[in-house]
Amino acid sequence: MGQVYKKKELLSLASIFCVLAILLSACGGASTSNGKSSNLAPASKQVLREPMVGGDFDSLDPALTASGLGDPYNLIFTGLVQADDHGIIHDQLAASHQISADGLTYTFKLRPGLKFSDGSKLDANDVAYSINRTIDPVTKSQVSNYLSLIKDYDKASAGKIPTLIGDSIIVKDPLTLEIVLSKPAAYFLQALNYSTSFTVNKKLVTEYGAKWVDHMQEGAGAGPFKVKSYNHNTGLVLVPNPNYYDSKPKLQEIDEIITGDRDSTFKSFKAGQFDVSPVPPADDPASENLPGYLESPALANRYMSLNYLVKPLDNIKVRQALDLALNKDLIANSIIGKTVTPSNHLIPNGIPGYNPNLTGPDGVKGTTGDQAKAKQLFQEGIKEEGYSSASQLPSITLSFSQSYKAGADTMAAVANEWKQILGFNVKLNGMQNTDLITQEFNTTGKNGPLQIWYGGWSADYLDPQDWTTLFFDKGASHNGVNYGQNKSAAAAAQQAVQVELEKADTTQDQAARLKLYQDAEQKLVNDVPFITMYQSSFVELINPKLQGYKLSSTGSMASSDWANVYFAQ
Amino acid sequence: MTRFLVKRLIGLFFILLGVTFITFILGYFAPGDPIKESMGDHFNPVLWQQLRHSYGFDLPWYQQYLAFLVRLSHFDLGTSFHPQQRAVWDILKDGVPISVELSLWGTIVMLMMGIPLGIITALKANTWIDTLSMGASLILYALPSFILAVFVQVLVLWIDKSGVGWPVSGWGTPWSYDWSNIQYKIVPILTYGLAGYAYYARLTRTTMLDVLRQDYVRTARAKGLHENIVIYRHALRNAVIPLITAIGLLLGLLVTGSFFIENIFSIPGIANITVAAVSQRNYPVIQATTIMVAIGVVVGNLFSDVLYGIVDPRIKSE
Amino acid sequence: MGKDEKEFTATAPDTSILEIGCAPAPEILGLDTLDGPALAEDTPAEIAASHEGQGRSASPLQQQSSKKHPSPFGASMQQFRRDKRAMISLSVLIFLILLALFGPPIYQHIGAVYPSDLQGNIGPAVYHTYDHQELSKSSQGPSAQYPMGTDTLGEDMLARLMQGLLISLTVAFLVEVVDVGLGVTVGVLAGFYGGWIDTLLARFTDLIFAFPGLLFAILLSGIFGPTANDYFTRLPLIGPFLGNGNASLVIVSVALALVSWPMMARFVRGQTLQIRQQQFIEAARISGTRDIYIMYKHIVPNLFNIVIVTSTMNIAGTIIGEAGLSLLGLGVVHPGSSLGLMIADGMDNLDLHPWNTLFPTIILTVIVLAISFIGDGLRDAFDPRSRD
Repeated sequence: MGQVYKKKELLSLASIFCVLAILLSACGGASTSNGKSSNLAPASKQVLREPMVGGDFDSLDPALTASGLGDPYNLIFTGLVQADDHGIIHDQLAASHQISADGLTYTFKLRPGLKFSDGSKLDANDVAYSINRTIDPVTKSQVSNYLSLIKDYDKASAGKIPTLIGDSIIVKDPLTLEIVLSKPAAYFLQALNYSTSFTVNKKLVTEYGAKWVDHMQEGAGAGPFKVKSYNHNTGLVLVPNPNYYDSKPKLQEIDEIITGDRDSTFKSFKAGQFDVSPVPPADDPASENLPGYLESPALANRYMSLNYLVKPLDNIKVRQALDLALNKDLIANSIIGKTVTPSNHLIPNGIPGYNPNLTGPDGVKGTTGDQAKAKQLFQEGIKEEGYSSASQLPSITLSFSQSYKAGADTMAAVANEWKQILGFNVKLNGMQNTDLITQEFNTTGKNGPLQIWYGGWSADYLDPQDWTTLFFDKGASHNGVNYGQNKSAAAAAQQAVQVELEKADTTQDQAARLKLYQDAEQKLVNDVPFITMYQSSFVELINPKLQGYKLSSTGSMASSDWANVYFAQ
Repeated sequence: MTRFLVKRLIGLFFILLGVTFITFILGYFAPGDPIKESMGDHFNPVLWQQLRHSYGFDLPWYQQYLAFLVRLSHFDLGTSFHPQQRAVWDILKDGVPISVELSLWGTIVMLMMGIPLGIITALKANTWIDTLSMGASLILYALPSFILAVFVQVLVLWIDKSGVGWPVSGWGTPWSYDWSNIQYKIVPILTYGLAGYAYYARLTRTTMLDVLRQDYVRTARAKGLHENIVIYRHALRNAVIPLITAIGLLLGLLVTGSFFIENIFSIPGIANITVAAVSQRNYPVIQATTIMVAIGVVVGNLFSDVLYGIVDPRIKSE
Repeated sequence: MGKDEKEFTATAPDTSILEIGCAPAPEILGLDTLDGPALAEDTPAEIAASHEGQGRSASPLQQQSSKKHPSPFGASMQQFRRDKRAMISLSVLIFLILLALFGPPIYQHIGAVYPSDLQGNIGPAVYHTYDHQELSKSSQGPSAQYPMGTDTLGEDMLARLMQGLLISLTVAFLVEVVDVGLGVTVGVLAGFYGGWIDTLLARFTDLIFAFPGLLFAILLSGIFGPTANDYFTRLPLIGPFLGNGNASLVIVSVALALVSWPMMARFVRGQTLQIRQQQFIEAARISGTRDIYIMYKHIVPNLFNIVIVTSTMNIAGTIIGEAGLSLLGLGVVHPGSSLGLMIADGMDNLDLHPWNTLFPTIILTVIVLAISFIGDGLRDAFDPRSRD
């Protein structure tokens, strides 16, 4: 469940694999106290009722779902490796793994005696089948590019070669699997943490075809839980898998109940229908003192992007003025509430390389902006661009996703502050989220269709590269703001920052590397390609009797942590 | 009668053709597509093109529409995009019973409240009972059902502050009535009834008043018949005729009638499925539900015709 | 051609209007008499029948009203003026229209100077506008400065209410313009000439009745709404008026109008058929008067009754329909305002700030009631059966 609403809440434009190395650090998270198991409630009470916010699962098939991090996928299925709640990779089905010297060949030794939940044997052939199945175009997976590092992925996914088994996915013996990559990449193991590589029971898939998701109770996977029943109207019932290789969970049942939107879910939680619920921002002030209130910063930012190829946004003073005009504290607190953190950062708190000493544009500290300075910069900026007053400026459009109401409200407030303080009128354009994403790709290298737009980003990996080089490097497909490659006066300085970022990406020494990113981030913030509004957060209310339930900044609970979740007396 | 039915069926065929064409054309020319919608955050231009091709979305519109019609003639409604690759038939099989159950019980509540109230207010016309109950009805009449539903939901939560745990969303198991299922169903059903009863109360009151003024009622009274017999045997029987027409047409509304009730109580019926499908650009499902609704309306009207003929024999003899 | 076929369609008027109304049955007032035999004649089956050359009998309504010719209008208006409930409703409606039109400028002169966060001292001309935000005053209850409180963005609820009222009434008006324009044109042509226009109209109305209005409106605004803003604001002349989130209003109006005009066309067609058979039309034709002139001079003026009654009843459905679409996030968007949008916005925190929902709900209910009573009154006034 978790992932779906979290994704929705963040509306992240998640990238897939652009990171050179994965650095790991502990990041903050909230969890209920790990009480002693002496006060364990009786087995009949160990039933967790989680809401599946927003309707039915997009698919329970791990090869198809767009929400493949977290439950229920990591409860029903297992992969070669798994991440813990800090994002550190551990072996799961694999007992050990080895990486060749050139970084191209990964050899996994499987645990002996593995079984699916129906008791049938699981070996390297099943793992190979499952990974290949995701890539096979017959499966029609929309997320198969999580596996695009595997050699010949392009050919196989386009149907030019029938299978990768024996080519780049090689079964050496029933307990040994070898995967060959097209290029060395340290984040490959992170990619395997996504559900696209999880092992599925071939017997079910071949017998039922696309309908196999309705027969998962017959032994779909090998995770700590197994499917007891799945109903598209009411939801999914999971019970412990007796054939799971590791320690058995204390929960006797997990009901993932299909329900409506977040507001309706919260009402239902209040009515006692669920043990866990996301808290709508409007209800946050009334909820924060209740027992069972959990809050965790999310590795996600929300920000406006300014297209450098659009006049007058190509002027640095105009961009700085647009940022400094905003009192981010007031906007975020009035509209979203106190759970989010107003921010100037590109790299959010919790990612290695986060710089607590970062200053806003033009050396301004804090997130309340500097309205007087903004007015002055704006007047100077538009004069430099050859406009005598704000009313002479060409029409500028501020685009945002209409389906996300808090985002739309935030943009209304931003437009209002710009109008009141700078006399700068933007045209608000609410659009479909998918149109926004597509247009963002189309804007790279062009002065449109997007001019200023509001989006968000959530971490794929815990690395600053995911927040800097990905967006601002020369030739990066996410460089919709056209940083560096534009005609503005600062273009040369911007290109120097791009070089600095590329250098940071390849630097081996971690401390030096982070320093480079921090330096580049400060230069970027001063140049204002993005106006960061705030860092998001996860807020949930849970049944106070529920113990061991974690809300982490990565957005999902690791499958190993589920063993410690239980209800107290 | 046969000729009449055949004509109707031919009419239905053309209606279905038109309905599918409208939804298809709307979908074809609309920006965005279901693949993009379901890829969402994971949008990838290369993979998107590949999938478009494999679903045949790169074909010209008439080819796509023809292919759809051919499949439809085999009663194949295709597969959905959310949930991915699920047969549309299965989705309908899940959703329709719930909507029908809600509307049916809702209609029963509606009539059980509306008709007696209409009779009472007609008999007590222009007394304070009449004024009071008609005043209340009028307000419910003008209050859109979605507002009423939210008010009811908040009210239940407020009453339930002590924590009995009365559910305010969901539907439980369709067509089963143990205590926990009843808990799910009773509030939406009552809301449905409350939102709709005023129409029938007014209708009954008006027709009842009309009939009571008729000569034969006066004659019956003059004959010295007991007042109850006059009312229930003579007056009510005639007053019920226009009512039955109105009830017949409700069949056509079974699906759409509960629209906002389903939405607000998160009931996984056909209306909720349709709204979700529209926002997800899930065209196979949109097509299927519009066809369903069209059939429902036509059949409902047909049914009300037949019903009308049965209740009022004069019409037949003409 | 059995009588049952006529009765089939007797139910159709109810169906379609109710569906536009987005609710099972309750929202539309005054339809009670529509299911009587009076208007039941104007049915697709009937259209087909007359097209096949079979005769049709005039409905009681039409026969009687034609007997009262040439001056039934004055009598009807007199009757209408005697209807107390309708007259009160009419004055309430006129008051609300005046409030929507002239309320904002007056309201913007009421109130003291206020030291704002961003702009220094501002007067009511600024903070009593519907899109002025005072973030530090968000989600407040009624006060002297904000008689109806503020929303989450710190906008004045009373100003937004008046603007929302204006938008809701505008949508209703636009829909009625299209409804009457298309409905009368097609209805008169179909009734006067018959033939393929008539057949087409019959088929089309069948289709519209089977295609639920709400679903159609949802489809249209759900699919095209998000791009509407971008597209319509670029249009010359009307573009500037459609900024500020009002652009999807056009889509909503079009959607609601498209599902309502066939009903109007059908009623008009029935009336036209009736008038066409009268002797003065026959005389005009024989004397060589052009068809266009006959339609314009003799037929259209006689359609007044049916048009006014039908469109009044349609308006209530339109207003609720617009509100429902806004509730689903498909109608007007922020900073634009409509009654439905205000209700939807307020519903998120109904338990914390109930006034945000309450005020627009009351206004919506009052409008719907008032229009329905006016419709009732007009129907009674123009329906000779109710005249003793």
